[in-house]
Amino acid sequence: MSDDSWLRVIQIKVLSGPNIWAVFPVIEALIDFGSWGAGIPADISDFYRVVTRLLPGLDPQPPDESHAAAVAGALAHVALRLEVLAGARVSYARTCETVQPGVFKVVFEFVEETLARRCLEVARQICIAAAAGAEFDAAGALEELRGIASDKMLGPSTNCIVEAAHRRGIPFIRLDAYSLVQLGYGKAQRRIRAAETDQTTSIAEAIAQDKQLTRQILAGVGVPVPAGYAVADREEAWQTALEDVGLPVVVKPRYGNQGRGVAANLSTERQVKTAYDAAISEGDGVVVEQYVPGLDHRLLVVNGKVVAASRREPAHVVGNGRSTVAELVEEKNRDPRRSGNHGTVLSKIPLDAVSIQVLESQGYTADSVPKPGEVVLIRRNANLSTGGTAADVTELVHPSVAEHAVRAASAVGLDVAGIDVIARDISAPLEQQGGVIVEVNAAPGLRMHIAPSDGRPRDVGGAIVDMLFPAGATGRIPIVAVSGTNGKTTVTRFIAHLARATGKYVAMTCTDGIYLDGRRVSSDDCSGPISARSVLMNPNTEIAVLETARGGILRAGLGFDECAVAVVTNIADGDHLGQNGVQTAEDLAHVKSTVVRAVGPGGAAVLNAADPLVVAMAPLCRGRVIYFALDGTNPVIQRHRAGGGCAAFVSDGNVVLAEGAREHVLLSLDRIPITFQGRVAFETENTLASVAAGWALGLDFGLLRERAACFSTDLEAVPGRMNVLHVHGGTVIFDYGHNAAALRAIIASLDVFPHNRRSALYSMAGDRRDTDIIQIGKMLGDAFDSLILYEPYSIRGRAPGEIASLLKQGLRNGCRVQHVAEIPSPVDATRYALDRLGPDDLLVLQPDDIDESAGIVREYLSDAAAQPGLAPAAAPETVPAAVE
Amino acid sequence: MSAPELIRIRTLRGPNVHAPWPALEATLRAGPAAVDDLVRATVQLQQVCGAKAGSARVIEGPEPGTLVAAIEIEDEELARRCLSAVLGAPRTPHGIRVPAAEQASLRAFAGDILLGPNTRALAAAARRRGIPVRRLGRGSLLILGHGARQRRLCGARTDRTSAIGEMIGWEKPLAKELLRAVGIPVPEGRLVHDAGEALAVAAAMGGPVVVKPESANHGRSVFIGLTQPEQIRAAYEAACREGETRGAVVERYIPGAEHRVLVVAGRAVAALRGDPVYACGDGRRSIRELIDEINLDPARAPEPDAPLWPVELDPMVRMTLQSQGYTPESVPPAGARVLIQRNGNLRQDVTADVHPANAGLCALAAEAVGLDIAGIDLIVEDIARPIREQGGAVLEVNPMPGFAMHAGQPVADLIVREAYPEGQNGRIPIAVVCGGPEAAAAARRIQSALAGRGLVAGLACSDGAFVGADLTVAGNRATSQAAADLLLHPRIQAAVFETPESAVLEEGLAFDRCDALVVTGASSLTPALRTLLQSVGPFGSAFVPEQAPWANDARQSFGSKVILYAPDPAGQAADILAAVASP
Repeated sequence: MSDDSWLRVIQIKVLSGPNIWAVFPVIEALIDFGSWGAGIPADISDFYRVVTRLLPGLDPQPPDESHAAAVAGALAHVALRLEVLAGARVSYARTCETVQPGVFKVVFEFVEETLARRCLEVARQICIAAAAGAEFDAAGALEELRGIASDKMLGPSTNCIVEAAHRRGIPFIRLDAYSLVQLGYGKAQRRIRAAETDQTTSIAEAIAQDKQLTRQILAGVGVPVPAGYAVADREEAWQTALEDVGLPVVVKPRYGNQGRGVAANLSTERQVKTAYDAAISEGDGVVVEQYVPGLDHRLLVVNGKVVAASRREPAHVVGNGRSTVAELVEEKNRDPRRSGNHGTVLSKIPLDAVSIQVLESQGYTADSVPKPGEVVLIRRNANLSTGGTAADVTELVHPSVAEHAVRAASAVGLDVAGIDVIARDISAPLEQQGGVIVEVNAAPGLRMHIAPSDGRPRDVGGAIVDMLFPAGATGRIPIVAVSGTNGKTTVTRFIAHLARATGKYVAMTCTDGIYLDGRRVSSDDCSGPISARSVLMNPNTEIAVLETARGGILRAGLGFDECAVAVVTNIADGDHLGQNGVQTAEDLAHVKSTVVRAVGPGGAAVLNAADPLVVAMAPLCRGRVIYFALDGTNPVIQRHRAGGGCAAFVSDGNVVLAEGAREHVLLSLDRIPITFQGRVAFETENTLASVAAGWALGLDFGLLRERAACFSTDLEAVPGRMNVLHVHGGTVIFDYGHNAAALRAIIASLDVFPHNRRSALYSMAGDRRDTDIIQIGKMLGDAFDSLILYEPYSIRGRAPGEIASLLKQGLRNGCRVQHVAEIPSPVDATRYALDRLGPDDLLVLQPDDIDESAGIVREYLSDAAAQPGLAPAAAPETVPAAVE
Repeated sequence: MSAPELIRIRTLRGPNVHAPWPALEATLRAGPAAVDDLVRATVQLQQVCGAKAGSARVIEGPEPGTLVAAIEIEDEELARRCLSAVLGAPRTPHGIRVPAAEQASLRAFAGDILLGPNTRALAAAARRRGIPVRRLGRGSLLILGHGARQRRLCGARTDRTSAIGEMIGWEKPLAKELLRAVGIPVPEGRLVHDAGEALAVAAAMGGPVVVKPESANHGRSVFIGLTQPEQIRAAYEAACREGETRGAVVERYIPGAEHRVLVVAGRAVAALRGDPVYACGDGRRSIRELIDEINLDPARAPEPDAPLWPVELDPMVRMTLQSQGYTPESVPPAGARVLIQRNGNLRQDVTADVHPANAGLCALAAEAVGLDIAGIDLIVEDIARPIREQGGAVLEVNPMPGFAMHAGQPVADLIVREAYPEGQNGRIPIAVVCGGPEAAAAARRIQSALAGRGLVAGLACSDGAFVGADLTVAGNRATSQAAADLLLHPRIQAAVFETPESAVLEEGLAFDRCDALVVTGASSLTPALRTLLQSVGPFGSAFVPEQAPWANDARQSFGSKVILYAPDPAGQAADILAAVASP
């Protein structure tokens, strides 16, 4: 055993949606080279040569880097190569250093998680073996990986439909570990399972399963079928064969598929009875049918059209005068296209009881040695799953044969059906040659059409996708993704509020929960990819507005592949810095730019023109950009408009939407309650971002105007989002903001509310950097007369009292603060602060648990008879016509 | 007295010269009393087997000393087996006695092949509406209506029921995820793979939990309201034994009563409330005996279609008893109420109480899974108030739910009404031509006249079967079998049949009603002709040649629907059909 402690995988992240690295799924693994340098090969080019020998097909030479980086690079490329060899279509891999010495990130594209994880592990073993100069059984490992791929990846039928959907830009979600897949999102979705669609009915499937019933129904609509009957026992089987059907006959299970238990061309009593026994062991009943000589064809009918046809040959071997039948079969099975599973082009030829019987009927056993050139059938049926082959004959099918196939599918009631036709010549009418349709298969295998052993592959997946999504259907619903440091929950809610004006079913996910069509169905933090995916699985969703937080992007990527609109409110000086490898505001901007990179070609990014880190995201957007800023003279906006771009800004107290030189006055800030007549600047910015997003969604100005005027941030609608309340004659600002930028924005808005003394109830999350907490303390000290510090319920690794003491460090340097109280319990602290609120006092109240604190505030409000913070915005008697 | 001799037997699959019902027609050489006994015994035996067929007729046979018995049938094979059992059984002064063993085997056969209760209810509902019903194959497949107007039903499946929807319904964890996605409350739960994990998950949830197999079936081995670690451990082991997979699901316990709401095409149409099962002690009998008594309730049977499942002394019942200090052998004091089962006793019809919000929620659950018919299992204290207000939850969305338990609600009628709204009966216009060699030509003329009026008309005649101009089956198709096959063709909007008198005699009719009958030649008003005339609907017409000697008889018997004609009746028949066919 080689020593492998020098190369360890210490963390694996599965980023299933667009992420900080790419817009497709990747695995991000943290690699630790442990005791630095101990096992790293001295000669990198030699190492790489060995790796390449162990795994042929790798790119020749890694970039010239440090030894550790080169090994990490090799690891990434080997893992990727292994995935490709196992059958995954992937091409992206990269590595990067982290701030920790000896720790690298290895990133590579993936299709299926289990396979990707195993590929990484095998890649690690290969690197270790190469470094130790040891051998490695790459072929064995590959066999195992191919097995995993065949188990876990989508099967060939499902996969060809998913790939066809992908070519049309239709997204997909795997719904289970097998073949059930959702194509499209929300209301635009359809479901498939292999070649079965959501309009495939179970009754039609049940009919197709029953060969007796199917034959009866086909005969009724004039489709040529063989004579046949259901029989109850082996005696009746022989009598029926002899008297009603006529010899030779086919004996097969009444219910069943994939050719199991089918025996054809039977003429003797012994053959028929033996075949009966084999058939009955497969299920409930047996049918005896007229044997019709001819070639076996499979016609695929999709939506009333034959889209592909194959001529299928049963498994057979050709004698050479030396080898036994068993040896000839073994030799054929060595063909790499034949595997033990259904995932490859061909399947292995079985030598089981049925095969032995087929051999016996030709006068052979497994040990016979056929003469050179002699063709020996191993199976009578031509199914791929029992070792058969298939040649494409789509272009040869006679129109009248195609018509019969379509009629058969329609009589059974299947939207997708595999029709088995026996005919000497598929290019001639069946009636002329005594050809028949022998079976109608629900959920037919598509492998023979997409990878025929001979002839041209057919885009059958495309035909099924075109049926489910007629021309013009995209499978998409508008998705708005909102990211940024501050204001994103308010903006998410605001956009959802605007979108609901369309009367459509709007699904919104945010920090406060999930709202479906206006109803809150979860009150957890739902700003991550799982919630996003959940509303996209909802078949009612017509518009999705998704708050997209940093944590989810880093942990698992986005919950969708593409969005119509991305909004980035701001990055400012960041939040959560120092966590998860996000060290700087630039790092954070890169994380949040993921939503901008996910904008589809026809979509739009709504970006804050006043924030340089946000402006820098513009080139990443595949769609257009709409900038917003309070100030319309902002140079970024000016430049953008000069190029014909769009922007939202404030001019003369009005919200203005501009398109190049044209300006549309939407409405006065006086009419938008959350801006407090424009005096609360950050809410005005939130308004601009929201109406710009609504505009990008195609909402007309009338709707935007109407809805913007009735979006409120009162305690009931959006608890903890800048709720301004009056208690005992004083003003309370109830806001959840927990970082410097949010605090700065709140402080900047305080002058809007006339007051004498100002106080704040505040704390910080324990996972912020010490310096950030101290800085917050300083800001508080500069802005407030008195402070009440509480301890959050979750102190995230801090010692009790530690957060308050860090805040106090900063407070000491504050120039305004007179009085500081420390009350650890958030409940007690809240009551303390509200009890001491006098007339004309102002209190900034930061809740720890929003619902709990809101409950306390409500108690005080009911005493004090709640009233809005300022004179309410005048009800819009008439909405001023936009100057357009 | 010699034993009756069976000379000939045939099946008349539709209205026939004897009666309007499908019949087994047996020609026998025997005395009237013997035949009478035979017929009575066969009818009884069929009914013992559960067949809905109770009529019979006996008439003089074609030859002296023979009689013809027509016995109503539900299933042809069952009727033949019953008749043959009766023929082989001894005749006693009290009638014919078929040996018990033979009766039992016939009953077993009937149990396999007769329609199940769901499908039977559907067939009856369709017939009540005058919609033609035909069973296809030996399963539960019903074809309602004719031609282009036909619909398929199969138990609680319609021809809109998606196979993928059914599969999702069985895949409980996936169904739950989809329910959550549409905002339906579902109990929080986790799949666990050992008892320790089960305990940890239960502890993390806090409060009582439910432990059940990964794929629960009929509420078996579902352990409810567990709080004690040893209970949870034992429940985990039992659930794993019951389930096919390794592992069990631990769910938060939702207090309230179990309900089953049946959704049909987006509407909640029936609801049942499940209440706990109690046994009342009498100071004499053990709990085991009290449970036996509970199971005497005819509503309880170990069959999937029975309204209630029998109470079994399964691990959950034992655990429930244990927590009250009992074992199955305990004899509770007189008057003591012993809780046996907390759930599984769905019987109280609460359809009228369902709050509209709950009805909407159930419809949404079926929609999310992708089913047009589904049985929604949910837990809520009071179905008359919104579930969301009470912390209730939806547990399962079941494909192919039974209707039998909703005996008080017209479930089958509602399903049939979904397929055919009021005013529609699934029929297409049918014309029948009966007569000599010129019948086929007349039938073809009617068909081409219909084509000229824009209808896709099917034709079965002695030249073959046609749909529009296409020959679909060659050979003589002037048979009732061919007519029946043609009515299955999904594209035809009208049908024209050549039906000679021989087909009526030998097969019965393929339809219960036609809209136009054209008689092109007949020497007398035979029973077969009468059967055909009888089948002409109240708004239909029978065209009878005016020179026919029996024309006036026909007018007298069948009234104004008989039209005497001299010139070409085919055009007129086509006119009638076209008028009937107009939407």
